[in-house]
Amino acid sequence: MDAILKTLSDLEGVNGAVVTDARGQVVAYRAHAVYDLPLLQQVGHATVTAIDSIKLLHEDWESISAQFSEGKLLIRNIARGKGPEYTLSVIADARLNVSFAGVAIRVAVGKLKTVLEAEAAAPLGMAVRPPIAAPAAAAPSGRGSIPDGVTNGLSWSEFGGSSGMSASGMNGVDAASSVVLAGCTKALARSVGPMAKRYVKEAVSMLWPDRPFSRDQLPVLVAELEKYLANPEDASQFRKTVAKISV
Amino acid sequence: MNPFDVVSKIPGIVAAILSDESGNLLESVGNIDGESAAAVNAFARESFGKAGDILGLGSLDRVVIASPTRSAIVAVRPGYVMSVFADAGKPFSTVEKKLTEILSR
Repeated sequence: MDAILKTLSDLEGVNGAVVTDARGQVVAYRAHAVYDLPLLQQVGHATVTAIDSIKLLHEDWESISAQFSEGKLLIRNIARGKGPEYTLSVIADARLNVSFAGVAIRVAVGKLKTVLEAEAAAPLGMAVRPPIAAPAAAAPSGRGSIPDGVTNGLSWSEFGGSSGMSASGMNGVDAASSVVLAGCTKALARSVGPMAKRYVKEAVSMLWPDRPFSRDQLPVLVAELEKYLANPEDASQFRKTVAKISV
Repeated sequence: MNPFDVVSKIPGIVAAILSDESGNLLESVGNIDGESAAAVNAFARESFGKAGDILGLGSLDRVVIASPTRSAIVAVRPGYVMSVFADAGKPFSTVEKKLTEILSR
């Protein structure tokens, strides 16, 4: 998927290409360094909100192009039959050649459909959409560069048991702590989807950079992860679920 | 002549709506539920405006929506929102050009 987004982001005038799911969660992106993940998540939510309203009039929408005074936001529906909806958004400035970009976007949408369909067809537990590209090195120029995307390759199997977590670098201090960590990730995933793994990994790395997670640190971790849950109901549900697994 | 009258006579369009920024319908012509469309347009305008603000793309000028059955342009201007609809298969870029031209007068 990263290669597909790279092709788009290499176009003159394109500042970012983002794939989001039906809830506005970013599942993959490639963008200038100024467009970091939290920012793109906000854009994803705003865009999905707009699309949801537009669907009331144009249920079968294929493309939406928003023209701004200093750029464009080109959105394409990655419809996959009855499967989950995804959208491709291309952020562009005035230099964009719309005709040229239109062809590139059409090609990209076709390829993204294929990738997403292949993932949907994979066996359960192995088909989680990989988390998004991580921001890379600083921009070499003032305008910003498009960093190489890095997927972390996490899969649910890394969280599936007390002994299978070393590959992710997210070991608990003991088996029980690892189980709690896995449960916490799955609880968060109910609200944020596959991004949960990245969020948990980043939170653990940030909070305890020099030691493995211990189950008695769970309240601190939960407080950190709640920052990703804008909806109070989601946060409440997350706390309840985690409280059950930590007993 | 009222811009809406001019816009509603653009060849190829099947409906046109004029609403205020809050989504209140001011005028409509053609086969469409003007009240609903005006509300949808206002809501979409606000959401896309927010996205544009976050991305630093400036103010929203227009939104073009394409589907296999119908296309639409929602043009945002100070104090009002004008939208036109055309059936699929019509040369919609021409409609977009005309609309932009009329609204910039």
